[in-house]
Formats: sequence, C-alpha cells, structure tokens
Amino acid sequence: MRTGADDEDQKIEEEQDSFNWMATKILKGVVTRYPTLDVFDEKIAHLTVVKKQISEMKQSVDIGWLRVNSVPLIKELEKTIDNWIKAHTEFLLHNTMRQIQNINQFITDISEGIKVVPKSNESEAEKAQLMAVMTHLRDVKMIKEKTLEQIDPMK
Amino acid sequence: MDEDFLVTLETNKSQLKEVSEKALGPVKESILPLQNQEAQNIKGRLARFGVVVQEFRIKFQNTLPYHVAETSQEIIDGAYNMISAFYIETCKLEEEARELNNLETLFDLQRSSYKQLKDCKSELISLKEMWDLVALIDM
Repeated sequence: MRTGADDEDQKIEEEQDSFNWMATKILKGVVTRYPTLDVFDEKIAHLTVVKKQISEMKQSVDIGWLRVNSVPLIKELEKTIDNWIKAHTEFLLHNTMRQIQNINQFITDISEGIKVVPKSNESEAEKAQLMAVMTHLRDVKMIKEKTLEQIDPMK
Repeated sequence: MDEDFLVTLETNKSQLKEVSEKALGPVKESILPLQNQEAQNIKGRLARFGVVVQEFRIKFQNTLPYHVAETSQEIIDGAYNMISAFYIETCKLEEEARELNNLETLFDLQRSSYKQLKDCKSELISLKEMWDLVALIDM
C-alpha cells in the first residue's frame, strides 16, 4: 500500500533524476554553485569604483624635500583591479558559453536521434532503436523546461 | 559580440522549442503503438520482479539473525557472513530495480518504489551495527 511518505520519496527521487539528467546533458562542466548575478554585479561595480579612485590618485607627492613618484604603484594597483574585474566577468562568460555549447550539443543529439524511428520492435536492433528514441524523448521531457528557464537569465 | 551572443541565445531557444515539439509531437505519436506494445512486455517483467522482491524479503526476514540467543566466535562469524551475502544480493536486486525504474520512466509507466528493498538495506545496516556490538561484548 502506498503512503504519503512513499509519494514524497518518489517526488524527491524524480527531482533527483531530473537534476541528474540536467547534470549529464546541460550542466556538464558548468559551475552550478555560485553567488547570484546581483552579487557579481555589485562586486564588479565596487571594483570599478575602486579603479576610478586609484586612477585619480596623485602621481607624485612631496614629503618635505622628498618627492615620491606613485605612478608605478598606481599602475600595479590598476593592473590588480583589472585582473579581478576580468576574473569575475570571464567566469560568468565561460560558464555561460559552456552551457550554450551543451545546449547546442543536446539539440544536435536529439535532432539526430529522432531522425530514424523503428517500424516494429521484433528484432533486437529495432528494440535497441526504440529504446534509443524513447531515451531521447525522455531527455526532452525531463530537460526541456528547465533548460528554457535557464536561457533568459543568460542574457 | 553582445548582439551575436543574444542572437545565438534566441536561436538556441527557438531550436530547442522546435526540436522538443517535434520529438514530443509527431515522433512520439508515430512510435506510440510500439511504445504501448513494449510497455506491456515491461509490465510483465515488472510483475515478475515484484514477486522476486517479495520472496526475497520473506527469505530475508526468515533467515537473517535478528535475535541473539547465545554468542560464540562461530555464531558471530556466521551472522557476519549471512549479512554480507544478503547485502550482495540486495545490491544486485537494487541494480535491477534501478534498471526497471529507468524503463518505467522511458515508457511513461508509474514508477515502482520497491520499499522492501529499502527496508532490507536499512535493516542490514542495523543488523551489522548490532552484531558489531555483540562481537565487541563477546571479546
């Protein structure tokens, strides 16, 4: 006899399966655990402000009889800030590009996989073909909505 | 670059929608008779496996050492051997259950939970812990 707890377990298993299919198809090589885009945005904006403050620093300072040339320091700091901005933006770009690449591969696999449909399931080869087509249909069913949901935020 | 990127995303989105509609529409429709036929075969396999699991569960409950009347090294070793043997058998059945679950998902059938196998697995863990304690006390 099935209970509410069994149904709940089954839902969790199905959700896990769905994630696993996503993980093997669309999220292969993609980092999935990272802060929200707002956090990235905030950090990049902050780094840009710091970069501006650095560029506005005096290029030389007189301390009594000593003149300090701060250009090399400013340049080095600007380089460091640029590297940090680049690290943040390139992470997002590479991650998104990888995801797009996986989506393209998925579309190609499905398009190729459903080109030939078996006419019967009598021979082993036809059964194998039926299984292959059914697997593609299952993948589409499981992955389609979640993948479409992910495309808009990539913009 | 930005515009190209947006165009690529839009193209991906529409291609994915298009291929999904084709797969879940005309393609699915064309293989529906074969799917139903194969689903019947799978249902037969599921029923047979259900009986196997049920029988295994009964054998499991009748054979495994749930009670400790007396202890000796021989009894403890025997209990461990039995737990190991049933553990291996449970894992094999779980593997088959996973394969059948996969077929159920492929052919739109209700997914079986095989609760008996989950019960067997958790009881095996409890039994191992119990016999670890028995062995410790007997030392």
